Amino acid sequence: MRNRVRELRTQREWSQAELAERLDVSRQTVNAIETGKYDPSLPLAFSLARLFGRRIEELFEPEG
Amino acid sequence: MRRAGLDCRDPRFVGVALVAAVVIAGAAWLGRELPPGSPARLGLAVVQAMATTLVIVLTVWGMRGLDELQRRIHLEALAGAFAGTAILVSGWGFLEIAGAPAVRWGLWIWPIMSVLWATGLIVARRRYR
Repeated sequence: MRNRVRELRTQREWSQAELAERLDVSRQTVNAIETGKYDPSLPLAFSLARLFGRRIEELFEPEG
Repeated sequence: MRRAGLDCRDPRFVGVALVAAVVIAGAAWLGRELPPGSPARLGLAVVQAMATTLVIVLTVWGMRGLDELQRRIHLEALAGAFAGTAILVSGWGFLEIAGAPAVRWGLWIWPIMSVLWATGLIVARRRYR
């Protein structure tokens, strides 16, 4: 799944560690989401959307 | 920031594990001259079991603080460790029936599983980088 997490994070000038702190997850999890190696659970996806003030569909979209 | 989950490098965990190792080795050394089955020898064995139990309980308790990806990584690593240990033990069991030397698995299962678990963690973490 493709996502805009890195784009939105860098717009706010947050580090991965800062984003992880806000989401209460590890920095590794943030990095794995941004690189597409890991698709977050629904609750975490909603937390991301809420944090960035976007709808989930604006953050994540299926590959292809 | 949420801690990255169970970190075997955490000084507190390392400290407890080292103390447990010293207790286990020390009890083995103290008990080597005692008659098998004697109350003192059995008491030392109970102390060794308690030290091992403490490390295992702390390990499992530490996993409660893991986030969702950390839990997945540990699940993959533990599944591999479980399977690897089962293969080793059952495989050697067949060899023992065929005449290979008997192994005291009670002493070796936890170290083997720990090594396989650590190896699995390294492999699983790389998959998500």
